[in-house]
Amino acid sequence: MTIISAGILAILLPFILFDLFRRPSIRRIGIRNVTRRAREAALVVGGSLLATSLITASFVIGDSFDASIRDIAATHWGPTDEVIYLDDPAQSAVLLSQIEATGSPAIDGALTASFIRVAAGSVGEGRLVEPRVRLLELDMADAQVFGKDATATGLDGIEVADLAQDTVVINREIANDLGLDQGDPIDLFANGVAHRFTIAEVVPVHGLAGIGEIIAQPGALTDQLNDATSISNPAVLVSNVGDVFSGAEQTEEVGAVIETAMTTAGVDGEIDEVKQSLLDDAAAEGAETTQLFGTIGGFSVIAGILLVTNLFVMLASERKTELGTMRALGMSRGSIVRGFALEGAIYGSIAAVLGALAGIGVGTAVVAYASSSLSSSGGVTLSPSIQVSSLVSGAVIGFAISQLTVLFTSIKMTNLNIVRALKDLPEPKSVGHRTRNLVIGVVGIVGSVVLWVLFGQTQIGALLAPVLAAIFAIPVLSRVLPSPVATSIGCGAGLGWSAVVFGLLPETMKNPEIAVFLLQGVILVGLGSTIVATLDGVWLKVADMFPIGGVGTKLGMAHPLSRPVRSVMLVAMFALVLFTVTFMGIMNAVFQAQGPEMAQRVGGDYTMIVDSNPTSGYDPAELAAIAGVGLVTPVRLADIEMAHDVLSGEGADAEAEVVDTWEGSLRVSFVDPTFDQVTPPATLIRSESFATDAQAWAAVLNPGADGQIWVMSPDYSDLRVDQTITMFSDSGEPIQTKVAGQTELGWMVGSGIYAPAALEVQLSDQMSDQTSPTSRFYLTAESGADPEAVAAALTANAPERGINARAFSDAAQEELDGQKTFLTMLQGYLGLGLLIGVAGLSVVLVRAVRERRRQIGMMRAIGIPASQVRSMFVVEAVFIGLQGVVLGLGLGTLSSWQILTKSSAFERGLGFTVPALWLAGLAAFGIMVSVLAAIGPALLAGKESPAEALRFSG
Amino acid sequence: MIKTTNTSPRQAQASGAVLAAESIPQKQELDVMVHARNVVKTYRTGDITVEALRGVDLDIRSGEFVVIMGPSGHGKSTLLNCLSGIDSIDSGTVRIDGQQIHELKDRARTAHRAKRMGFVFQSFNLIPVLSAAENVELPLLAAGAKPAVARERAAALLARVGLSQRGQHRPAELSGGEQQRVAIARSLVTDPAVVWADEPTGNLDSATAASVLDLFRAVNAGGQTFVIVTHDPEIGANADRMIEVHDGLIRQHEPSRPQDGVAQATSLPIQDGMAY
Repeated sequence: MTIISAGILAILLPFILFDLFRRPSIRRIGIRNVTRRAREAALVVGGSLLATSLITASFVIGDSFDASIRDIAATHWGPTDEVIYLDDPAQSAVLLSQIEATGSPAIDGALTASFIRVAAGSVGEGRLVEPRVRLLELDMADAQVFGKDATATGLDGIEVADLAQDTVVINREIANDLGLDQGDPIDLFANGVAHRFTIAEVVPVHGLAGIGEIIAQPGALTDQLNDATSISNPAVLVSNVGDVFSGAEQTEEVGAVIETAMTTAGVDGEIDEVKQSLLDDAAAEGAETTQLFGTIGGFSVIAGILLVTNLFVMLASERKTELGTMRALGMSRGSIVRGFALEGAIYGSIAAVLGALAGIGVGTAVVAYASSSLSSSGGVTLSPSIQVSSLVSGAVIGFAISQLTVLFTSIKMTNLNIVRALKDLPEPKSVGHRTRNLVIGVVGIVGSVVLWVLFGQTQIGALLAPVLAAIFAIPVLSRVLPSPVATSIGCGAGLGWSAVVFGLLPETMKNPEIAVFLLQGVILVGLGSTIVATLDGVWLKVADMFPIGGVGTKLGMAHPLSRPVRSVMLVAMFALVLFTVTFMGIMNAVFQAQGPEMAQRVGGDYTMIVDSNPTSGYDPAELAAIAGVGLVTPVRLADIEMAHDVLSGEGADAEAEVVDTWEGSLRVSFVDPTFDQVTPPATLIRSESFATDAQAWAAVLNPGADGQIWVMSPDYSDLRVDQTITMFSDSGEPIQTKVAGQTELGWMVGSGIYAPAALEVQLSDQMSDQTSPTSRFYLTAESGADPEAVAAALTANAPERGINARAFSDAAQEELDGQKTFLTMLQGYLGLGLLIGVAGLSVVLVRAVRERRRQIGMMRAIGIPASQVRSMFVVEAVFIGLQGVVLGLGLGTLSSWQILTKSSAFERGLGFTVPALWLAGLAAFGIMVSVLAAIGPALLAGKESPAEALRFSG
Repeated sequence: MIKTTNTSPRQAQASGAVLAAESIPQKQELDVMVHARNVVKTYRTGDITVEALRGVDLDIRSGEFVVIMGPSGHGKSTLLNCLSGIDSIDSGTVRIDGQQIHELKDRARTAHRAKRMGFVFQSFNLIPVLSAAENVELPLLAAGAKPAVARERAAALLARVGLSQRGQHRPAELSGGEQQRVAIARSLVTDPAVVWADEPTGNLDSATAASVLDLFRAVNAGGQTFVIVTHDPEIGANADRMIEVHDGLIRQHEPSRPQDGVAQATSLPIQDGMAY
């Protein structure tokens, strides 16, 4: 977008600058029209800067996500760029020596460490416990010089000489959670046994003190354990040359050095390029967020374009006599357009700068809201970040949009009849060009058919081609039907198609990109607004039937109805934003209504899930004995190496071809044969080999009955039903498994692939993998017991054992809360788009006061009271606002209903919920803001002195 | 062709009247529609102060057909605006129908205009988004008339100015003459005591201007007072009285037309079934 905009400017700017410096006549007209009326100019600039501010805001939001995630690099990794996880603690020193021996100029430090998962708790009355804490055992003195940047390690202030073996350093976060401070005792629970330490220092969450919440000298805990190998994960940390961020640039080179070193030293392990991965994730997240907000904000930007168009149409209309005079005096149409372009460039450049600055405010406000929501839910800590390049991009895009809008509007508006312009006579209704229009219509229909043939299988093509055909049919239909009827039929057909396309073409429109929603919204609202404008006669009859409010009402409705093009732009501007807010609101309501069903989909008839610290977990029987707990089914988790084909197409595509092969490790939940003692999670799709979910689960839990090992794949993987997955044991033995079905939402609890416990035995040599928590349980609550209360009691019962019990309903609600936060944030952002609607309406009405000044003078002169003049503007705004509300809410509801109930946009039907009260509030808000938009202009109009207004000549 | 000859008694009485305030007998005061004394109006444009009216005294009798003439920029339109109350004055008094209009609050002054005055402007000032009939209805609706009554009355007025078939057309679809006749119908629809017209023929060709003048005279013959600002000597020649404004003062106001001119003016060209 930025590049396209810069390209547009590169084409336009030379002309503008040439006119500015070398064409005095154009310069004079352009500049003096700007300075002619300061308030008018301010209105145009104000209207233009709104779109720029939203574009810039989307960049600022993206930057903030990017920077906040990048910030984790400093807080949670510090100088560490790569971590090599080893199977054997004895190999740490060997690998360290080998890495140092390479003398690689890309590496500036290596450090041995051990990661240990423990539970940690305060000591004494009212003990507080954190069930899962990462203890890092490392040589503190080595750590302080690791990466040649003591500050980056987060341990620079510690007096190593004072550190006894029974002391630990903890970070501020865990200290706050446990209510501890320097000098306090702290218990670390491993294998169910408490080990007491004293807190030597509390340090900020930074660098190595971000990797481990608790840091101790080597062997401080592990030396006290009988079986340290089962819970200790030895590792070597490597720091690349460069600072916290730039070090990641050496990752590829360092990775090769480490691999060579591991090979040379004969060390087995896994290299995790932590810093590079994090920074890549940050960049991707930032870009995605920018794109999401940019696209959602696209509705508001289009509203902004409509506003600028409207303003320039009004400007050109006001200067019609001047334009006629200039043309009469021999000025070419091109020169007048360039005069407008120069004037627009001045407005645009001021608006671009101010808009970019306003965008900082808007973006910061959104980030502040997101930050408070995310931090309260334990997510990333967001803080506003603004890149200069983003400001420039926002300004350039905003300027390009306004400049193009002004240019096209000027070209249209300068196409005038000189005599009519000189006499300020209205343009007659177009009766000419019937043949030309017919040709355009026919060519357009043919083009639409070609578009359908070529791109009908794509979502944009499928949506757009029939709509274009319907629009191009209007001039053809106008040959045999009255123009309003032809317009209504054409627009109605286009609107109808775009409203039902998701239901008619479910396969094509599956999993639509957000840009498709944007396009659909623009089409629906644009065509809906046009149809409403063609119904002017109907509105007037309705007004005649209910003559409320006298002259003000009559004139308030007459003005927008008499200028359909302007009214369509105003109504569409308003409706576009309301359409999106409605869509988001309904989606939000639908998602929120999914809570109980989501819990059922994740856990089946199991109502709770319990994870225990692998060092001190529960026995199933012990768990079952706790009050409120019904059935208990143990599950073991492991990350298993595997490979499978990557197939083309989607879903159960019979003609899918192998396009690639995937190898890597995936999380597997090994479930006992008793897993189906209650109904397990439902499948989203299952193999045709099974008639029911129960049969499919029976095949998974009892492998070998049909000579197959069946598994259930998660819906987020590339796996298809009946596809073969080859899993590898630690010794490399391949074991073929087959996908019986797909479960969904497993990501909420990290269940991954469900596989039989019997398969675990064959892969058992991988079960000691340090990344695999070993204890998980699926539970039911006893009859009458509340799962959420039981889960809370379980967690509280013995927190030192690392128990984390959750009701599936809680997990679902947590997910929904996250979605709600995000959707609310988007709605808030769109709410700022509503500001464009309000400000736009207000700006247009203020200009209308000027445009109708003589009219107002006449009205006041013949005895129409100021109150009626004021009400004329209020009614006009309400009339437009009402149309926008009806269209926006109506089409937004229609669109979301179609997508939710008639399409395959979502894998599983989500049902449809109309948040009636919320919609009523939104409608009332829409009307209220349109009234607010009219107050200023109405007061202005009411104050007009009749004599002065009558003298006014524009 | 139908001719009308109903000259009002007041018309005859008013013709040729040149009334100095101090010379107006008590009985005659009852017939004075517009009574202005020492009207001063000053405009400021930046640092420049323009004395548009510098102490104007003027009386216009009920039913009189008065024309205000004078060079451009000397205060004609300002005088009309100040007399009609659509512009404020700096000092002096203006009575319309015995009511000191500049002492009224804006709302009351507006209501007074709605009930007792009609206006015709050079550029017609019709509301482009309303049909001809709707434009004519406007003052009645503003005065609180019921829509059906306003519609009926507007249709009658449009018929009176010869535009009964053009009521549903918007101003853009009418000729300049037709638009001005719609404006005249609008000015008469409330049956006002006085009609103010500012350059009513300024945008019209001579033939159309003549027909508008004839229309004015015909209506005036019905007893309505007309005060017209114009440069058109033809109108001046047909007025009961011609007032010349020069440098913000009334230089002369004298009868411009003999008594029998009234009878002449009532002989109207009839268009489109127009009848009086």
